[in-house]
Amino acid sequence: MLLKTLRMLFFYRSTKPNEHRKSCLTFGFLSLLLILFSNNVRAETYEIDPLHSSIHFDIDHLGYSNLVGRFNDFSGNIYFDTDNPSKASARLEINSASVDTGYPKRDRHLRSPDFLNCSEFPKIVFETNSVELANESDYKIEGDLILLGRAKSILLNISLNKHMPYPMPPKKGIPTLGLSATFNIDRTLFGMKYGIPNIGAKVQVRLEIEAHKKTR
Amino acid sequence: MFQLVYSPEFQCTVVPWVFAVAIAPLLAIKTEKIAILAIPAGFLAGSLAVNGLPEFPFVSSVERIPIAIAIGIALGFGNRTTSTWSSIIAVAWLLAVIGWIGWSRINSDPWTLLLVSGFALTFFQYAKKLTPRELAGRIFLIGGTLGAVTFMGGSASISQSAIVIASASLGVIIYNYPRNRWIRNAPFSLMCVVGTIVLLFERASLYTESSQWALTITAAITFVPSSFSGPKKIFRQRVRIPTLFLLAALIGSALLLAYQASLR
Repeated sequence: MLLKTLRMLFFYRSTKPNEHRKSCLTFGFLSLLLILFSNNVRAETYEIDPLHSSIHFDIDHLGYSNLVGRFNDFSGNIYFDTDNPSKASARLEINSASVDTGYPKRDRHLRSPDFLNCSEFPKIVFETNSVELANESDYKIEGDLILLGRAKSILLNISLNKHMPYPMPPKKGIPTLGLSATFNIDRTLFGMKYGIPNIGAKVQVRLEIEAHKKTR
Repeated sequence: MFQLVYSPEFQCTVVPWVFAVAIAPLLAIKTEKIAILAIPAGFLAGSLAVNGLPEFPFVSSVERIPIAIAIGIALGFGNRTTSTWSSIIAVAWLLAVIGWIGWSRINSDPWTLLLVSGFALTFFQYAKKLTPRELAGRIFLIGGTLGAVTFMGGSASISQSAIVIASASLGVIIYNYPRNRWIRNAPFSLMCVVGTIVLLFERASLYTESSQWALTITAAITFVPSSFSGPKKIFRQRVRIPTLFLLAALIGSALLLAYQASLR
């Protein structure tokens, strides 16, 4: 059937215009089937659930304590293949203006050009480049973090806590992923140098992610 | 000593002040027309102490301002003539750096960029008539007020940079006290001084939550005349009290507006 369609498309000159149109439709349909049944279709898209996910950060304050903050607005997708986890990939987008440390004046300072420079760089983006299975549930991920307009490669260890259908409504039965990750970044590498050394250069980031399989 | 070097107060006040006081006579050896470059040079030293060395590629306004000022100082040092061409090149440089700093907002906020450009050109024309001490005095007041306004607006680094300019201009005031050591400034050097303060206004206006009205009133300090002639008849001498009143009113209202905006 495929050969017939190809022949019709490239070599056959029909006198009936509808026959050519029909062959084009058949070819398109076959291509779609091929794409759907190729190996890549095993990778399923999971959408991050912001209600049950969080992005926290810790930063040293004058050596006395670690200030804890979070980002309240973020979104992202994880492409996860159960049979071939090393083919997984992810993209996370954070609205930098959603930074929240529990004190509005400090948050305003963090949004200013001294730190996150939210007017100039409204998004913080993380994209994976490679995923490596370390053991049964741990992954080593290498990806690009784009912060303040600069992309730097970072390494993080992620634990896959759970990959099961969700037990509670309204998402009951939908396959859901649960991930935890902790990693460090050096903010000066992204050009964020204000307050060094009084405010630490090293920022510890903690991700707690819950993502549900996208339903059509 | 280590703690002193890293203290914001030292970086904002002592570093630019010492730098400006030291470099003004050195520049004057070459020609007095470029000695006013001590203000942007002091700003550059203080700014690098506060924010560190900018790294290539210069993607943010934080990194672009010191680069723009360094280029301005180099061009000002090389271009010491007072020709019309010199003024035209200086204007072109300033408009180019205003565009460079505000590039990411050129579509969303073109009016602010136009206003900043207009302010820069008016300031440049006005500054041509001022003696070095008058110009440095204005920059001292604008820098101090801008420092307080942006501090309340949420950006400590812009606030510190504004204080840095105020300290550097204090160095030039001291060098020109009790009498002005030079009268004419080369256009490019003058434009570099104007550019230093204007770029901070632009950054504060485009990228911080500072009150726009407070920033506008702070910019108006530039055009307060040194003295009014009216009260001379009453007091039988040149009296500057009304100027002081006007300055106090402008600075006070800018600070009040900035404080009110910070409460939101």
